[in-house]
Amino acid sequence: MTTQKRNWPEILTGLGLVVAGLVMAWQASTIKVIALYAKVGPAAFLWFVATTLIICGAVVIWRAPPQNSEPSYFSGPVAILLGLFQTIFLFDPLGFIISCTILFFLTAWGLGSRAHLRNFVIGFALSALAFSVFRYALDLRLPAGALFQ
Amino acid sequence: MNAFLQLMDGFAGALSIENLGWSLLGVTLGTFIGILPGIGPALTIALLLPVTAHLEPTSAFIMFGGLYYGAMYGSSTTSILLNTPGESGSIITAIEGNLMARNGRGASALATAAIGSFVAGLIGTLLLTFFAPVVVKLAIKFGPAEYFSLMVLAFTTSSALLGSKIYKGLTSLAFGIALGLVGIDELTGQARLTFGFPQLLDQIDIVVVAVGLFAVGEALHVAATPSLRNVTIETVKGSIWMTREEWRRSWKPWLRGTALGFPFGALPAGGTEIPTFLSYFLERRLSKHKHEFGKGAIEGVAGPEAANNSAVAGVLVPLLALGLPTSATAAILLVAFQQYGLQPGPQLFQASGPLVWTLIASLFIGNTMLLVLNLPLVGLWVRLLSIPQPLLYGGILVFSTLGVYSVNRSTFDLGLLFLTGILGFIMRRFDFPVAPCIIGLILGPMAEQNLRRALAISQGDWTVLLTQPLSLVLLIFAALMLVLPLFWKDRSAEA
Repeated sequence: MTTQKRNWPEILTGLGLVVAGLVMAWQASTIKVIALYAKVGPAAFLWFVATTLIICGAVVIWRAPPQNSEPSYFSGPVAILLGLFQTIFLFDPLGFIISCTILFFLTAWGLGSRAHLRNFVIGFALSALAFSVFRYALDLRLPAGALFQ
Repeated sequence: MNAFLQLMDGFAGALSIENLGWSLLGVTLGTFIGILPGIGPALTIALLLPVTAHLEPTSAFIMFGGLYYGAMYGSSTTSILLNTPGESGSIITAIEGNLMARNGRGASALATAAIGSFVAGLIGTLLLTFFAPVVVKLAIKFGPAEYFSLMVLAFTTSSALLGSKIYKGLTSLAFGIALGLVGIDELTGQARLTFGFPQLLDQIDIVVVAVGLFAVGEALHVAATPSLRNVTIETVKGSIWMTREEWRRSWKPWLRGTALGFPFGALPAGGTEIPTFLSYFLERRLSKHKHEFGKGAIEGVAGPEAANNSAVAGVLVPLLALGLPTSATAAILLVAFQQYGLQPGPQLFQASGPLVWTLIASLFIGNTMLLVLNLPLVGLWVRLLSIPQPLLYGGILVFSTLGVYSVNRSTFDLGLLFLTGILGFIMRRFDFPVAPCIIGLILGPMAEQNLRRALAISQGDWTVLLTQPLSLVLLIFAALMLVLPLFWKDRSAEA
């Protein structure tokens, strides 16, 4: 164990859990406790969650296995996250079809496809098809795009 | 024989043209998503919830039941030909199944998986028919204290048995409970974990969390992991009709797998994964062809594939009779019941008896349809595997945002999807099991409610949890689940 590299990603995850636990504890402490007949106030389960996360986070740090050797791609997940992130802000103004075409395109790129034109066309066709089916056949209202109306 | 008569009534309902259509739709969709990696039954049912809200509950549940069964059939195809499990219940199938496919015996592997699934589905559904009413009789004796202890048992078993490390399972569970607590506390009206966002007062929808953890988390994980990106598809070689020798070597593993799967599904022990692992090790130990294990032994496919299907039937026992989900898919099915204002448990059997029995009857019918869909037509399904990964995940994410947005017509939920997706990615990356999180999300608030009721009845006396014999037994089992794994360390090393 001593000769191998420390597994920083796993240790950071453990730290993140401890921090999440502390946030839960802080949230639990801000809840005003009303004396309840049932004795289980609104903060009780939060305290349980906070304790569990802090303890488990500590164990994750303590028991972190040695660094695993498989390299990982960063650009792929970042592209997919970017694709998802834009939907939050562009869904309403640009509409479902365009926003989801962008999402499809970036996801395909993130998974290593470089056939850009094909991906764009398929993404657009799929989004347009999904939009029509769900909007007109299943009666689910999806945003058409405020900018175009 | 009461159950038998009610089942016959159920068949009368399930055999209507309309319900046969829903069943066919469910099993076809189930096989479809079972075969596609990256999308499973829990995710699909979650995505369908906004659409099915307009349907009759009976139609919706016939479709969901068929879908759950179908996913278990379809996932074996992916395990065998792609060496990537379509679902977690088929992880172990990939070992021997993929080796068989590489040795030109892919067709036999697919056949023993499909027939084994059919046998297990048939026996499992029969067991469901006769056990569910028995459990219902037991459930009538359950008060809030017993329900609370039962949920604690579901918490500890799912955390302890799923995933490689118990503390990682508990972490996942704690996150799930925290997500379930977000919003207004029903009893006191206090806002919890809303961080000032008014959109969070109304609780986080299960669809958002399930889609984030399963679909987005998986897409990110595959994108980040080189070894998951490059997969080779084996072609199906050999005859789909098994030889006499293969039948002889398959039937006992089918039955043993069925026997293992059902109780593990029915006990609050975390769904389909564990019995498939146990079945694999059991077959390896009992086989007369031990030298073939590691080179493509048919027993290593037959046993686990029977086990996962009978586990699915088993999972439905506590779900229908107690309202207790023991797998992620069951947790989402419970939400589907609640969407219709139905509460699974003894009340469901009394108030909506026809629905329950039509559903169970439709499972028999769906199971038969699945044999036809998966054996002669397997060649058609295999073509799904040639969809390039980038396009597959692109499509999954488009439908994911569609489903999540449709729940509340809110882009705030897309923000939550983004965050739970990152959470799902971290969980996969560092080997935290996802199912305990979903179970905690659904059962956390229910456990809190039952604990409060139990203590209100006992006038604040905590010992009520220990003095009620049933509750005590459940809590002892729950404690054992946490303690025992310390003594049989590193099961993952063995697997």
